Amino acid sequence: MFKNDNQNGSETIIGPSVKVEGDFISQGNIQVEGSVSGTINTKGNLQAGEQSRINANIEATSAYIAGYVKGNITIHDRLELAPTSQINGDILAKILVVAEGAKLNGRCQMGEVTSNNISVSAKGHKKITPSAVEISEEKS
Amino acid sequence: MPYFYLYDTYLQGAAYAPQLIRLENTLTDLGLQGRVGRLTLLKSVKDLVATAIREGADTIVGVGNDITFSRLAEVIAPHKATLGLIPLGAEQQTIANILGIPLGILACQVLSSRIVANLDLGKINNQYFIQSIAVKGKPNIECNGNYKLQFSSPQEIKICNLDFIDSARVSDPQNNLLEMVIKNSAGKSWLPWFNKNSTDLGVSIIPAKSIRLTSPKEDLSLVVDNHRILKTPANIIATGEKIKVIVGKRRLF
Repeated sequence: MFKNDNQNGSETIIGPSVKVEGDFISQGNIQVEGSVSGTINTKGNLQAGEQSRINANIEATSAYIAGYVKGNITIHDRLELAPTSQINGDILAKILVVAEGAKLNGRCQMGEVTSNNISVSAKGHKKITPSAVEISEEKS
Repeated sequence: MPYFYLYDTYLQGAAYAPQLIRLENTLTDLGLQGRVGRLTLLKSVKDLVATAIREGADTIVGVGNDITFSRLAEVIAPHKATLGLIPLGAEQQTIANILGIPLGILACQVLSSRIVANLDLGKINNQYFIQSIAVKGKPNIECNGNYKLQFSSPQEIKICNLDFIDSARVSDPQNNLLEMVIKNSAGKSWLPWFNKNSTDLGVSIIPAKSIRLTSPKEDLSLVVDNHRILKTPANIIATGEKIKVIVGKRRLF
């Protein structure tokens, strides 16, 4: 992408003034500081900042999440939840690191991510099996 | 290898006469001499280049600045000619900087070395562009037909193909993608990004192959390659087409 990557290696940056709606598909790293609704799918890494608000199913190689996520998260390698993170959804990850203070409301499944533990919905969005738990709405 | 040199209009001033004479002598010494065309109000880039190509020129060299280069790129795009640049004058020399071409007569050495790179071409509403497109306001943006962008406040948006995305980085003109740089209009200028985290200033950088810009309330002006102005709605795409450009060893991509 860029000749000289920036400090954190991100190729896509969604800043705080931007709201993305739809299926965001990328081949590289994504840094989210704004809002995303729909789907995030990347072959790179995802970094979601403290102010980020993601209402989307996520699939990435690795992820560091410090903001709010409502949706299922599928991480092929390492998922790290920061103390400020709030997750309402199911997690499937090979490695999970949860910091003290992180809020996680959903089912966790650890291990290798394979096609057997991801099912595809009619809309093409990936869902984690077994069936998703009920997600409580965020109380702001 | 027949060369054709196109002098931009601003070089007609007496201030540039000595430089042009030295330039022509240097080109002759290097065996790079060729026909010369001079842009005037009555002679368009399209006519001059079409005539030159018809007469056998296969390397078209713009003598001027970013605008000279961009106007030539638009015209040369459908042909198989190679594009070169000799930057004269200090203003609007961003492209020369990115291509690694020194100002003035030193650029002749780059022509002589003849390193050719295939660079991406973009299209806006079916018209070619090569450098970037700038727009201010709150347009509706749809990328790749997959997702939409919404803004809470007016933004400065630059869609780059061959341009600086900030003071330290350039967009990659060979990846067949456009890099969209978005920042708050209320923020600071582009330059202070250097050495700061981009997100501190509300900057977004989003690569895309196709971008649709619309503005339901009022038409927004899009500045294309710093010299053409179009209005929304606009369909902007990375075409996948390439243009052969002579570049220097110190190019930034």
